[in-house]
Amino acid sequence: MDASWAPELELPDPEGPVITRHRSNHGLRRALPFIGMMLGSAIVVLSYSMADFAVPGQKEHFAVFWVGTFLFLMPAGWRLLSHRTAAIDRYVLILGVGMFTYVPKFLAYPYRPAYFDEVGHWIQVERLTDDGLLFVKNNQIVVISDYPAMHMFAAGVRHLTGIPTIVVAIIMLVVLHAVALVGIYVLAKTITGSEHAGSTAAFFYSIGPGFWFFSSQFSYESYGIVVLIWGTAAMAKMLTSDPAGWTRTSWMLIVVFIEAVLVATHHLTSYMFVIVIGAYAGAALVFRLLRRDTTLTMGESFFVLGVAIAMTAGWLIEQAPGTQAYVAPFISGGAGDVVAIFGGGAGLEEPEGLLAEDLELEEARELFAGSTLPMYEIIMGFVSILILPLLALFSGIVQLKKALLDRAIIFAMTLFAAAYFVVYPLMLSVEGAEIARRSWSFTSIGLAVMIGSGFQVISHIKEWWKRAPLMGLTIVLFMGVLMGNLATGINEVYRFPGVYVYGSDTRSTTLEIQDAARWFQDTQGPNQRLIGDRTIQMWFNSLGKGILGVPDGGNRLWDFVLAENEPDAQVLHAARSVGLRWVIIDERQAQYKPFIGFYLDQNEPLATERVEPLPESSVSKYDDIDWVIRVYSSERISIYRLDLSAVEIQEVLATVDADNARRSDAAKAGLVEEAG
Amino acid sequence: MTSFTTSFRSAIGRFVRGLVSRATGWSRQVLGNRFDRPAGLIAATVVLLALAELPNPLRVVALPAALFVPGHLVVTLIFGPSRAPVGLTGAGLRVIMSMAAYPLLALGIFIADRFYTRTSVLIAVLALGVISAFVGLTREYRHGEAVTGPPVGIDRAWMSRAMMPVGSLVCAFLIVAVGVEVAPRRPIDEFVQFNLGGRWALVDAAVPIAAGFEPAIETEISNRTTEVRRYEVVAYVGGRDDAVDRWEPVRIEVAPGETAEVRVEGPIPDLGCRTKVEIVLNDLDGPDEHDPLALFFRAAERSDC
Repeated sequence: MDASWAPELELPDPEGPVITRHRSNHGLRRALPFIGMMLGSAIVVLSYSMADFAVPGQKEHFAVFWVGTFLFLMPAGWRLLSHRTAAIDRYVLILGVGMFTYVPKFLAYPYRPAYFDEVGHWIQVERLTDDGLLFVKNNQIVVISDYPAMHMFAAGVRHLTGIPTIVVAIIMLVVLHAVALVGIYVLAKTITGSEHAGSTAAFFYSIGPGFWFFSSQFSYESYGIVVLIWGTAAMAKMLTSDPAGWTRTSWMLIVVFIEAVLVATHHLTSYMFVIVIGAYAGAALVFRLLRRDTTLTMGESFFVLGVAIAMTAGWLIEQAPGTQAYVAPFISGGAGDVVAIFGGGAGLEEPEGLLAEDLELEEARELFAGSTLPMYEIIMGFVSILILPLLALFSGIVQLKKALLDRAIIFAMTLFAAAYFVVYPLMLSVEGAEIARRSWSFTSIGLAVMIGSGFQVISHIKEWWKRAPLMGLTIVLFMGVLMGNLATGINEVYRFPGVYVYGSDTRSTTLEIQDAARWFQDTQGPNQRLIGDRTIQMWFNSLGKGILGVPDGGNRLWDFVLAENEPDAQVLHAARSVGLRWVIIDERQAQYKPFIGFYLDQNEPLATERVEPLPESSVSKYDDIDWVIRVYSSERISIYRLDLSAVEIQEVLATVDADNARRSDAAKAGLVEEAG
Repeated sequence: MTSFTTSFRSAIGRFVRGLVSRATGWSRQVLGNRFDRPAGLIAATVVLLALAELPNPLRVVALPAALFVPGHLVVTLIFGPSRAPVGLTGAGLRVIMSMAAYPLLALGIFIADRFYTRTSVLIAVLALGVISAFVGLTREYRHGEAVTGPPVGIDRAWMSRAMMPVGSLVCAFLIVAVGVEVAPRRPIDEFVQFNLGGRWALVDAAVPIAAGFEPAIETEISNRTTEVRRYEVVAYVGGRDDAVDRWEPVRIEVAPGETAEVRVEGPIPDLGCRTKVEIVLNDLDGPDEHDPLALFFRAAERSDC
């Protein structure tokens, strides 16, 4: 590969291990990150044990967590940023950092799915393994049945090894974390031609948003992002290979192979990959037109782009037409919030007695509102938002100074990195913040390559008294970014174990609920239609193999859980229409407000607006109703079977049927009159 | 002491290096020096399938092969042995392509109108191995000579340098694996399940019975605490608050982790269209924390119910 554009930078030994001995590769300096890896792991384990016993308000476990994390990551970062590090150390450190980033999630909720989405994916794999059917509907996360690639992988490994799904999930995530950083390393090394730029990029990606927790959940995103990283690396390999050789064609086939897998993995990831390929192809076109860099062949880029678009569109139209309806509310909600914030509430009705400024404040998201994180993390959450553009700016200056942006392939990645900052305003709205966070998992790939190409110069500074402080400052800034990313990306309840928190998914899951779900499946069998709060939904849909009665604007099925009085005729009619037979009540709904802001569904009445928990009568309303059979009771969970065949219910339902028939006849008569 | 430690470490190092060297030499002899030659591809496939055929839980040893071999087959199929990436790039690519291969194999199985079962996965992996080897053979035939890539040698200096980092990685892994088991954690929540048992758990409407018939209702008590629990199970006809009759209570002791079956039976006076029976679990050593089970009976001979 031609690397004349970087005359001062190290040229890597092609693929082979670098075994050149150097003073810094000996003794304590070499051993430090590896000692830190072991000690840091032990201290992080300790921090999670402390967190489990912490009472609300205690924050010592945060500090212990950071001590353990810094003990490993700071010396590891130093070695990865240095161009003198031996190849084997670099490789093991990349793998070690990757694996280490999965440890906190594993320690928080070991050997069980913890997050809402994880439970949905876990049961999808269980079902695929049991019955061998693809595309089986899942009404906990409706869209995942159309994107089964990750489930196919996990079920395939389960078939070959006999390992339980949850252990396959852990192994998959450990491997994915390690392989993700290897992929970033390969990508950055291919683009910049420098091994230590590659490892700098990998280290930067490891501190990126979502990598520690979001990408640690057993879900299609975690799998898809890593496949996308390798697709991006394969694309770079293709574009930098000998134009006349089979290797180039091979890499192109790999890219197409990966896109084929991504379209069956995750909607957003497959679209992002199209954007990445588009960035490469666009850069090739622009540079060709400007005659600045003609090393990229446009034909192959656009061919791959065309294939990717065709596959993505084909899957969306033929296999997953429901995706649009699933994704649209997030996008329109985020866009609407941002427009409202920046447009001064334009388009919104201004309630009486409320000033426009108040309205803006209401619509805007209050960052870290009610957060239980320590103050230093919250501060770093804000500061890191400022540090990142500065790091990118430094890299951009280096790229300009060294004329790196004259190369189309680097320009493409820098363009992709810029998208990281474009979505900053979205952080000001609730739904927009979700979009921003998700996009960062992708755009930080470009940012990592940019940072890798820029920060490689520090290690090459000849005077040690200049080099060492700058390296130290870089590591400190990176650690600050990591702290900020964790603070903005995840709350304490998702990050650490601890006391019970109602409606939090992670800490509201109890053995009592899980055992009730197992009893339900053992005695009643699968596919029973039921309703309950969100944690009940998680476990009765998965362990209980039930089907969720999904409330919406058209019915008020949530009244079975939320209402103070017995459900009225319309609700009973809706229950009969959808075949609802079971109601499961967690008595704690009358003691706590749900952590996530709603009991069953984000569209339920007073979602996120409640100031008090539900009244006691919402739990006791079934005590004196003659058409429910209480078949199960534990300290906090009751399972009710609805007897919609009861005479009094039949009478009520008959009244509703008669009303509906009358309305229907009247409507028909109206139509006939109009036609006449 | 120091010299003993040093010689002990070097003896271990020599032993490990000797083992790896022998294993590498053996594999080179048997597989013609390369795992990406057709024979090597078939051998890799057979190894994976053979390990996957071991009885459970021994089958777990197939895991490394399951995460590497399918990707190796795909990479060699696409690149050919002489151009396939090696080193860290090659290893990473093979792992990620393994992860990507299963979904495409599964979609192939789906298109062939078969279920995604263990058998179909084994057959699909075998087919991938055979295709990969066949393409490899074709390449060798067309080129007229064995096509191999650069040698993947593991020299002693490299191995010596790898000992410390790899050893640390393994140690860190063990620290987390053991730590999660031995570190103190919050005790799990304790509870007692009380439910209708046997066929009574399937009751979905008022149970029709003849006048004068005395039903025997089965219940179950599962003690998920760490203490022995003593209970009294008693049924109230008409409900606990408006009882018209109370059946003979049954007392029982349930050991931790055990499930006890309790049967309560008695008459139902004034049996109408819908008579409620509540079964109450009274804790003999503490406050009652369970809501009563509730079910309904109706007169079988009445046609208007």
